[in-house]
Amino acid sequence: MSPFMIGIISLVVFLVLMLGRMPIAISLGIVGVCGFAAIVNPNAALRLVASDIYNVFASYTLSVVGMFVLMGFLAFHAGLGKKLYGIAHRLLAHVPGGLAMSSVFACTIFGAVCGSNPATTATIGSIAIPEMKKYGYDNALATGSIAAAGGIGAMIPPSVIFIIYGTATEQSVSKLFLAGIIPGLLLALIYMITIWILVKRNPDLAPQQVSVETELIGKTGNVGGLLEVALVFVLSLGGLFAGWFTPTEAGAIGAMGIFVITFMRKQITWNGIAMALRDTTRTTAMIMFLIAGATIFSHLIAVSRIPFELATAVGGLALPNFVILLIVMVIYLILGTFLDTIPCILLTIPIFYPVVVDRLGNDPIWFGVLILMVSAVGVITPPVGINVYVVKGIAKDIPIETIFKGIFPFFIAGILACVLMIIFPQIAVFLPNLMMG
Amino acid sequence: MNKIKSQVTKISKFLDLIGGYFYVALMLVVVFNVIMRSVFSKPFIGTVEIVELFSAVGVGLTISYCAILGEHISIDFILEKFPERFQKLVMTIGYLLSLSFLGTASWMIFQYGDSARINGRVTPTMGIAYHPFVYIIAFGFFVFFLVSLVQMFESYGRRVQK
Repeated sequence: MSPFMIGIISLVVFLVLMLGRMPIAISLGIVGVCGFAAIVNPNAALRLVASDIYNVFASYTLSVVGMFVLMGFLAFHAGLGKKLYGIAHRLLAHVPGGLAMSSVFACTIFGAVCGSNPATTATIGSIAIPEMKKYGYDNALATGSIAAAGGIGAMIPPSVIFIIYGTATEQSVSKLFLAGIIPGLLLALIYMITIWILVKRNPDLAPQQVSVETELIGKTGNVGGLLEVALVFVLSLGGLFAGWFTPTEAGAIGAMGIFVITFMRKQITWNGIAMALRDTTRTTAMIMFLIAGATIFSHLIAVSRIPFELATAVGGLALPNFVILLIVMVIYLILGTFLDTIPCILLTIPIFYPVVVDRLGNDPIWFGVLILMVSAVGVITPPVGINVYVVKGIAKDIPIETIFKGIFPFFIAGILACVLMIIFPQIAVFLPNLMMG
Repeated sequence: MNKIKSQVTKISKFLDLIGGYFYVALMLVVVFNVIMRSVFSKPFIGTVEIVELFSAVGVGLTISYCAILGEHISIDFILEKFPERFQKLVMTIGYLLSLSFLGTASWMIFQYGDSARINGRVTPTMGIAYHPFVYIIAFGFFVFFLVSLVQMFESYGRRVQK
């Protein structure tokens, strides 16, 4: 049997195992080892297991994952999400649909610090949804805006997914971080415009406006400490962009800075620190094991020559680049309906990257941002749409159908943002080209 | 079975706690190096090696507790739509395959550590031996194997009781 056929059969077996409830990291590992053994030889495949797992776990480049995850969970357990919502509320609550816009704003900023889609959605959602309900907001708008905005933070640095993409494709993490800023803010702006249009067309969706701007601040406590946290954030990422720190150093400084500030201001308790550490260990272990499984799998993909055959086939098609990119985007959206962002990216990069970047000559940084933006839309796409279920967990009295109805306008807006990214790649590459050449 | 489960959970939780300390130590080492380099122009030589070793041990020790908490991503909404007998069959096959992978991984990583010990492999700058760290990862996978074994019996028992 040809290596290509073994590769295709392995992909099918992987899908079957994954859909049969086996942890994705283990499915990738098993299929990778067996396929590699069939193409190369069993001894080499077994040695691959040990070396790949050790090399991923002991990777200096990937050690940044734990640092940024720790930084995010410290911010989460220190209650910084609440404070950010307070600020957003002050800025936007008085405009039509302002509470929903405040949620988008707070999700974007807190998501950047926190880095976790579900944690961002849960934190901001648990404060914002009751507030929107109090002011008579339509349930679909209230829940849909939170579910959609919860995915934006992954695009704004520091983003664990960019780190994974950068490591897998040997691209600069600093460039990727810079490249994500404008598209992330653009997506947030498009979501806010969507809310404004929805409310303008049907004012019943957000019937009452908040007249007392500071009303919520009393509930969320004072916003002290945010300035210092913002400074830590600027120092950590600024140092990274300026080339003073490696990504791991930027992450460690960020985590240490947030720990010191929140601890000295008594915003985080010992229990909160323990919780942050526990959340960090389990999240990082999950991500690193997934990367280890995907690394074994990527060796199989490489020896099976699937990317080469696919690139040759695509090269033979007389389709313009734009159409091929749209097809790739649709594939990512379909995968995103049942697959979480990190495994989706780890699984597809060895297959699509050589086609889109090496064969079609697209910018690798731009492609990374594009697939992350598609994934940000994927977190609200049924049937999985993880953020929808997180919102359902907070708003137990609102039917899941209402939440899915609520995300529909944001889904369309997200697709529009992705198409804009394909037509104008400068949206992503402008900032890294300007600052890093 | 409950006694075994409780012991395996205790071990995993303990390993998770130790792993958490490695993350904190990693953060402190990196920050210390940045301060030494930026303020005193004397970088802490060997930081990269320590970060790599601590990261490897941190992940290796915490991987089994992550499994106890059900944090390793899997897709269950499709299997849930099938009859219970079919679900049981698929899950048993899945657990057996997982056990074979985790057992193999643990053994192969142990062998990898043995090879590092026999060949006297050490880190280039500080001369720290690799093999103890590799053995710790192998142990972490062995505990992960035990966790999956307990989960398989538990899932089987629960379904039979139904």
